[in-house]
Formats: sequence, C-alpha cells, structure tokens
Amino acid sequence: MTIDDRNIIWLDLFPFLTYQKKKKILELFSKGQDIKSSFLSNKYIREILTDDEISKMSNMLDNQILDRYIERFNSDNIIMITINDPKYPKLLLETASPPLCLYCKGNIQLLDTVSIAVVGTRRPSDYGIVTTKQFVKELVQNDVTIVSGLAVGIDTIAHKTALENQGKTIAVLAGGLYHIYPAVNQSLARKMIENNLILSENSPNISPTTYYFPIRNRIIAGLSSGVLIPEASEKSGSLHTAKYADDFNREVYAIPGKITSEMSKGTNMLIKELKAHITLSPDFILEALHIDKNNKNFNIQLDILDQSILNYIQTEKKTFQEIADFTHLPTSELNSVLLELEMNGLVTKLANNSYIKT
Amino acid sequence: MLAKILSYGLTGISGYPVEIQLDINAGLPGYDVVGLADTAIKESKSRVKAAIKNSSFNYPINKIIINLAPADTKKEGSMYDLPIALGILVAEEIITNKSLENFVVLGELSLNGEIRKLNGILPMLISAKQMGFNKFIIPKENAMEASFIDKIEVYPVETLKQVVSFLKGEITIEKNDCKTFESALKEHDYKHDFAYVKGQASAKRAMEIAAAGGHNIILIGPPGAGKTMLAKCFPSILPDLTFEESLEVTKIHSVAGVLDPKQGIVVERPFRSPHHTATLIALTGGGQKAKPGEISLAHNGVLFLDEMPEYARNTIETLRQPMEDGYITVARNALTVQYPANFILVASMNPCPCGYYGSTTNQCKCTATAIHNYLSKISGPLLDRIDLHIEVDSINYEDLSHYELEEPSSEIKKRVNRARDIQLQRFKDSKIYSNAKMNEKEFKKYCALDKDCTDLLEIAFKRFNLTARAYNRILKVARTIADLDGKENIERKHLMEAIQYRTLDKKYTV
Repeated sequence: MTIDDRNIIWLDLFPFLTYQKKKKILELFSKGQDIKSSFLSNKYIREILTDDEISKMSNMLDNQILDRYIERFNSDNIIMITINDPKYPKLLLETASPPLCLYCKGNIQLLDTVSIAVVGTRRPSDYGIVTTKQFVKELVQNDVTIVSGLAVGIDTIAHKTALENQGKTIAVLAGGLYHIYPAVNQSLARKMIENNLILSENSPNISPTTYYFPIRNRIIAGLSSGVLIPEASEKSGSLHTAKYADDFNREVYAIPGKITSEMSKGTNMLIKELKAHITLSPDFILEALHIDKNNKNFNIQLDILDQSILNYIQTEKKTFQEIADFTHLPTSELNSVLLELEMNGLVTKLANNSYIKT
Repeated sequence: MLAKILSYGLTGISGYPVEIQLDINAGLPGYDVVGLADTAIKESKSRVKAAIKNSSFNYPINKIIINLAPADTKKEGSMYDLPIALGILVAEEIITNKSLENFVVLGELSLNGEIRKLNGILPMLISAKQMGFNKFIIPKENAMEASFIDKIEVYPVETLKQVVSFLKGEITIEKNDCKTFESALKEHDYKHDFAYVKGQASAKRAMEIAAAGGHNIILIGPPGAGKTMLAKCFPSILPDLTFEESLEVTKIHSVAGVLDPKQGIVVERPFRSPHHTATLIALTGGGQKAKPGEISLAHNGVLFLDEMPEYARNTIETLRQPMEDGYITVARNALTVQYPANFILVASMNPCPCGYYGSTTNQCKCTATAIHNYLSKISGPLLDRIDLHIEVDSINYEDLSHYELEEPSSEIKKRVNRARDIQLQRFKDSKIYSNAKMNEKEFKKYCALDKDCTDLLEIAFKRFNLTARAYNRILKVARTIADLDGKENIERKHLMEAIQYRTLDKKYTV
C-alpha cells in the first residue's frame, strides 16, 4: 500500500470531511508525501478546516492508529481500491467526481464487467415488480452485471432476481460496510458477499445519514453503462441517479407506465424531460450494449393446460380464484400446476394469491 | 361426638379425596373451620346454619370444629357445604355416620336447604372412580355431566331434607342413568357453513387440509375479504370428537364452569376466540385459583386469533411452548397445575398496517418498513409452528351476486373424517390423533419421499429460498394431502400443493 493510498484511507476516517474538502487537502500535499507527518505544519490547512476539525484530526496523527484501522479492514476481508489503483473501475474514473477510495467486500472482478444500474421506487406496484424481474433476468442471462443500491423495493428485487438467476450484481451502499442499511437487507447483503459485491465510498465505520444517499447515486450511475428505471415516483431518489447518468453521458432507460399510476410518474417524466429511452424490452438494452442475445433460454415442454393458463394470465395479473374459474380445475390440482409454472419461472406469485406472467 | 364424611377436592383437572371431620364441644356457640379453607368454605357457616334450620332440623348451640383433611392442602369451593351440614346432623344424631359410609358427598347449599350445582364434577368423579370410590351424592343439576361415567352409583339430590330422608332409608332416590356417548351426539346445526361462503376456493381447500391433519393455519388478506367468516365456518368441517377427546374437553370445561348443564358433556369441538385485548393470564390460564385459560378451553378444538399482530407480543409468544407440547403448566404460589392445550390455531391478519397490500381493489399506502415491522410482530419461531399460510383476496361483486350455494360443510366434513380415520388407524399405537403432532420418529416413517419428490423439494427450496424450518411442515402437510387423496405414499402433486402453503416463508414482501 502506497503512502498516497494511506493518505486517502486516513482522510476517509473522518465523517466531517466532505468529498470536496478531502480533494482540497490532497491538493495541498505533493504525491508520495505523508499528510499526517506535516499536517499541522501546513499553513493552508486552516483555510479549509475549522479549528475544531483540525483538533479532532490531530488526535489521530499516529501511524499506529491508521495501521490498526487498516488491519481491521483487512481482517474483515474489506478490499480498499483507491483512485490510484489500476483495479479502479475505468467507467467510474471518467466521471466528474470519482470516489477517492472504494471499500469493497466480495468479488471485485465484477467491477470490470459490463453493467447496468437498475434502480427505482421503494414501493413498487405489481407492474414494477414484474418488469424488474423480467428485465433483470434477461440481462443477467446475457452476462450483464446489475448495479443497484440495496434499498427496499426495486433495488432489492433487482439484486434478488440477479442472484436467483445466477447472475452478477453489485450493491453500492451509502454508509460504511459495517452499517448495512436498510437492516431488512442484512441477509441479502451477506449473501451478496459470497460471490457478488457490495461497496461503499465511505470508510466502514461511517454510519449512513440522509446526506450520503443522493451522492451515493453518482457511484451507481458512474459504475454502469446505463441506468434502467422500471418504476419511480415524482420525488424518487432514482431520478437523481438518472440525472447523474445523463451528466456522465450514460444511457437512461425508462420503462413507460400508465399516466395515472403514481409509481410511473417519475419514469414518464424522465422520458419527457430527460429524453430517456422508452424501453419496451430488455433486448433494446442488449442491442445498445452491442451484446448478441444468447439464446440459452431453456425450452420447457408445456402441455395444453399450462399454455392456456399462461395465455389467460398474459396481460394482467389474475387471482387464484379467477384462474380456478377459468380452468375449472379442482383447487388441489391447480395449486400444483401453478407451482410447477412458478418453479419454471413462467409465472410470478404476487401478494394476495394472484399470479402474473414473467 | 365425631362425624366423618368423605368429600372431594380439585387441583387443576384432577381430584383428591378430602375427609371432613366434625367435632362438637361444650362451650360458647361457634363454628371453626381448619385445614387451609378458603373464604367460600369459611362462609359456609351461614349457609349451613340457615339450610339446617330451614329444613326443620336442630342446629347445635355448641362449639363446632370442622377439619378438612389432609390439613396441609389448600381447599377451595363451595362443594363442602352439604358434607358439613350432614356432619352436623350426624353429630346431632339425626342420621348415623354408618349410613354415610362409602359415600362421596358434594354439594353447595342455599339458605332454604336446596342443593346447587358445582363446577368440576366430572374430573372429580373420574379421579374418584380411579381411586376406587363408587357411590356419590351430587347436586341434581350436575347429574347429566356425571351420567357419562359408567360403573359408578350416582345419587342426584335436590334438597338437604331429601338427602336426610334418603340416608335414613325413608325414601329411595333413583340412581343416575348411565348414558352412552353416542346418545349425546346429535345432528349438528352449525351457525356458519361453507355453503354460504362465496368463492375463496383456495382458502377453503387449505382449511380442509388443516381440519384433516390438525394443522395450524393463518389467513392473510385485506379487510372485508372474509377471513373471519372462513374461520367461523371452520368448526363445521372438523372431524367428530371421539369419546376420549370429549372427556378431556369436558373435564376442562367443567373446571372452568363453562359447561352446559343440559348437555352434560361436550360433543362439539370447542371454538374459542379471545379478543386481542386478552391478557396473558386469560390465554394461558392462571389467576389465584389457577383456572384454565383460553388455550386449554380450546383443547381438542380451535383457538381463533383474529388480527393476530394486534395481540400483545408477549401474549402470543407464550403460545409457542403449548403449541409444541400440547399442554401448559400453570404455576401459582399455592399450586402448580398442568392443563392440556392441544388446539388447532387459526389466525388471521392483514398483509400490512393499512390492510390493502397487494389488494386488487384498494391502493396500499404503507411504506416498506412499516409492512416489514407489521409482519415481524409475529416472530419466526411462532410462524414456524403454523403449517399453512393462505392468502385471501376480497371477492368481487359478480361472485357475491351469484345465488347458487357452494359445497356445504357436511360434504367437506365427510372427506375430513375419512382422512382422519386413516390417521387414527396409523397412530393407533401412539398417543396422537393427527399428522400435525407427529414426532421425529413417526415423521421419518410416514413422510418418506421417493427420488422424484426429493429432487422436486430440493429445487423448490433453492427457488423460493425456503427455510430449513419449512421442511418438516411441508412434509407433514403433504402427508395430510395424501391422506385426503386416499394415497399410501406422498406423491409429487401432494408435495407441490403443500409447498404452495408456505407463502410467508417465500418472503412475503419485496
């Protein structure tokens, strides 16, 4: 680890240092110079930091303190990739404000893959759930990595669908890696560490505050070739991500929805104002990424009954009762038929015992 | 002068003999009860005195000492009024002590000498019979209850005067008829019948399975979907009580004093639905006298918890141990009592705080965190003990406006009874009645799967992220489904259907 890397990791330890301040401090010192040793003697430092901040930082000037931190991060399998590291993702480096260091846990080779960010509302409607699953499944089957923010709603569905289909996925957290947020997704995060990746620009000890979420979105946009937004309300944070993507010259894919639907207002607005791509199928994204669709889609032998059920629930979700009335099957039999379809990934079971085609 | 009369006491649902010893001494008139008697027994003074006088006998103007042996056990209740009164009459030499030999006497007196009904007659008589007592004098109002115990002589009495005449041999009292359990069974007329529940095919099917295998079930759905109505129909498809089960239920109901005196024995499976404000003690049993709680009253029947997340968390958590063991131990400072509590839990809940998550008619307004918090009010271990999760959707207008009736409960019940007969046959050597109560050994034996099913289960576990806990539950339910189908082995389709009922394991929310 070089002196420059250590400088960055040291600066990252202080939650009160914003990205801009850290940049400015780094500029005060030349490359390869240990900031800690000449921190107090630098006369310009007082122009950037308050006395209070300086006194807090001067308590931590000891090299051993930093060593202990780094040791702990290493023993927790946290990989630190600074902006000087050749492993630092190229796409992210191109952006206006690349994070100084990425604290990663999991498979960091994923940083080097073609990826699409999938973000959206925390309260998706059935439409959002189904489209997210459909798009993510198709994308991961064509080796596209899914980047998202581990939030509840669309983010969670995106991560989970990717995992279910043995795809690759990256979660970008707002807080440090010791503070997985939201707590509901702790187990999902643990699962992602096994073969996939979670990362944050914040030092592991820093807990997430509301301020970090919008700036975190720039990393989600920066890591990906494009951002797909299946559903978002008018004030959704995913619109920030789209805005960043647009600024970074990345594609913004929005799935259009009903104009009356609260959760499609954001996506429809993106199409109108930001000229986001009207995305009607995953193929469109694959084409834009110049990926030849691989047809490893499994062929499932469907009998006439399965086919007729699939045709029946094609357009809109149908409740169990409606399907039962349509097929005239006894409940016991219909239960197993629907489970078979669900296990083959042809239908998705939604809340309230209703089904929709995937 | 010393009189000795045999009576009986009650702890929990088992009885113990109490000997009432009575002595009359010279001295200032008085009435002393010793032997850890409660207030009801001490107050017997006034009732006994008035009853004796009003039956035109003499009340001694001397010091009366009454001892309830064994002296170190707490006695409670009003059943000792009659034996004490008879003891005084023995002391007064109106009747002889010999005439009372071998009789167990129980009864509460009213001031005019009439004998009133008691709680807990059945359990006392059953345990007295086991102890070798076989002659009883009990209140007439309790006669029905006693008539289902065979090989004992029960003399139902109405007044103190009548008892005295009987003991003097002046009159005879007809012995209580012994009735068979079958004669008590009548054509059930349930208030709620599945014939009147429109649609909801999947929920009905799940309830049929629950009834057949004794599985716990939770209904999840928006307000007005008919969860409560479905639950209320549930007793109408439950298998008939067997005599042994009925005696267990009647004992508890007799102790709690909720037995119908005209019926005498419980012939329908109990359906208890405590309100969600119910306290822990109300549910588990307890209080000063360690009375049975709702879960014991629901023994061999149904405990219905409407809107389960509304119950206090610690209240429903206490259900975990009895749900596993089938009994509850109520410990109070004076006594420790074990009550059976082997019930089918039927619970209902909304999918989220506002109730409309996933509803086809209304838009849900809850945040994901709010939904998560709501669902986590029911802990994993508790959910783990509920075999069937079923979602109920609200019915649309077209369904409601159909006039033809649905399949009546009586038809469903026939299938349930058939499946239950198979289980009774299967478990005839063990102490359980249903698939839900299988232990590990029985589980291994009766829930074996072939290769095809094992593979299917493995795929399903991966696909739906099922927890290891779900494994046993799914197989037990599959066993019941196979029984309903009349099949010896669990087949693929049975297993598939069973997996469908683990909604909450499949991670209900996103």
